[in-house]
Amino acid sequence: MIELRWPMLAVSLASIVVLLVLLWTRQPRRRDDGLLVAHTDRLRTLPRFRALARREQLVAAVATLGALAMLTGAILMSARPARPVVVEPDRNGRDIVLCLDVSGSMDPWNRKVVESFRQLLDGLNGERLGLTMYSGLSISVFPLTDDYAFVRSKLDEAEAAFATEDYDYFIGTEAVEERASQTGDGVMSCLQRFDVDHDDRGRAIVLATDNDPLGEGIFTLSEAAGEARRDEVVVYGIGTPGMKPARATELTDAAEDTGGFMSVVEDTGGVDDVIRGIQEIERDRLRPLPTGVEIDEPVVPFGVAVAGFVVLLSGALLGRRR
Amino acid sequence: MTTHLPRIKARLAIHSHRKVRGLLQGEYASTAVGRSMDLNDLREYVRGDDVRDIDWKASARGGQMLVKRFVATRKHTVLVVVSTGHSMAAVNARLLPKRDLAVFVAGVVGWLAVRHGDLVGVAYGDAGGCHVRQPSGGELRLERSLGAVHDAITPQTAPADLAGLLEHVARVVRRRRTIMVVVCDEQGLDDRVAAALGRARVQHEVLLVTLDDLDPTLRSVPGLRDVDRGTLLPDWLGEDARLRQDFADAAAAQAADLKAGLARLGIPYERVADHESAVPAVFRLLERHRHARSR
Repeated sequence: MIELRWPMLAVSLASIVVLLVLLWTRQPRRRDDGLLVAHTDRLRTLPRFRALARREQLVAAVATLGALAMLTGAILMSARPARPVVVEPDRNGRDIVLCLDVSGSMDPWNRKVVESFRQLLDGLNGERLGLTMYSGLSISVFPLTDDYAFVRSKLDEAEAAFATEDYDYFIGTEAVEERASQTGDGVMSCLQRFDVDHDDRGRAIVLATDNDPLGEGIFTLSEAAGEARRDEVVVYGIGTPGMKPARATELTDAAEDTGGFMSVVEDTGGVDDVIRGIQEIERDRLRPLPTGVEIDEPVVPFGVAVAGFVVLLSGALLGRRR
Repeated sequence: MTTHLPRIKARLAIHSHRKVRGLLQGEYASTAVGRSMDLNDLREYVRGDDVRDIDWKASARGGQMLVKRFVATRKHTVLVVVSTGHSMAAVNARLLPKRDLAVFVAGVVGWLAVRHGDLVGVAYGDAGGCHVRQPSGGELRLERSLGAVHDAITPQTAPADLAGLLEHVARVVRRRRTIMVVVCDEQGLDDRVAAALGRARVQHEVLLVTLDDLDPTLRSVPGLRDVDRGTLLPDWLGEDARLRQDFADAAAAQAADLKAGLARLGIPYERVADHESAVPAVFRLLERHRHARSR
């Protein structure tokens, strides 16, 4: 179903054309110019004249048809024929920052989180992933990006580092003071990974931590959660089985404060399911609505116009080559 | 107003310097013997002669009865018949207005007649109406008649109707026997015109002058307009050799047809292409007419 987006333009153009044609044809013919010739009947009765006249008429008719088609096509094209379609947005406008507490006790969990994210990569389309590690300090392993090849290589690196407990990999997170596992500060720095000018994208933090801080941080977890809520960032917590109940409650409160939830995985194999669950929930939460869009369909009128032009041109050439 | 005759006189003057000085004196063969003031000769009286014609003195001198013979001074009437349809407003093969040419031919004939002391009448008309201006010997009257003919020819007038004009003349000029010079642009000879000419031929001495038409296929004159329809002629006419050939053949066939038809009717005719050839053409015509009469 094709409809015109600017029908009034087509109507006015068509009426202008009709008006011009009327003006042109209704114009009183001047009878006094040109040399007058008499007794042309004997010319008109010649068979050769009739044959030539028929040919001229044919050529003129073809050329007129071509011009008409060209005009029609051009007018239709000017009216912007469009096909209304409902577009399912095929890109998911979501940003997810993995926020990993890299204190020593977390290594197997982190490895599972990273691994399950790496497996999820194939199903992603348009989401941006970022990875931030924190302990006493936080560092950004890679910023939010949808360059999945890059993400994959970085995740591989991180996974290898978690598997081998490569101390060099985490050295940037060691604070000079006696301070580690500062979840509040970690969440705050993860919040900063979101670029501010993409307000329309869904934002989530997957926070894997046992929430067992050592020393004094700058922000508490609840303060960070408030900040996250203000920024409309949903925090999903992944806790470990061995975490203290008070710590677990704190993490749960913080997550629920932002609209997320916390789950405690019983063993390392459960991380996959949690991550997948987070993905599902996020996808549902942020599914963009299908929108009606009008797609320009100029092919037919353009074809008509071009065909008309070709016919007109061939008619003109045919008429010239006598 | 008086513009037609002076031009014609000027042209005739130029012409007469060349070769037709003698012709100007003898256009009309008036050899009928009749009564007049001019004594022709004397002859012996035969029974039946008018007694009043007896030349008594000559009879006394010669001892026999002699009667005077006179040259008849019958004044001729030249009737110039001009077909003034709108086709006369067109141009001829040399791109000259046929109207000027028609007026010129009529003027030459008329002026020769006036010079000769004859009466000149002018009839003109088309399908829209016909007019006959009564014969008179005056120069001014001729000028006015020529003006009327000139003004009657416009592209807006009715189409030519030579047969109708001749029929009208036949109705109006009933008694008089005239030398009728028909100026027209007929290209062929249809039955009605042939019949009307045959009818005129019985009463008058008929001479015919036709004017040519422009062949629109011959040269590419831009913006040719059909005088019959008022529309422009197509611009591709001059570009087809076969069309040109066919048209020339058709025109030649028509011309031959016209010539044969007029010969059958015994009407001398000339084709006039321009002003220079018009004067000798008229003289040739008058010459043929004289020969035809003296035969």
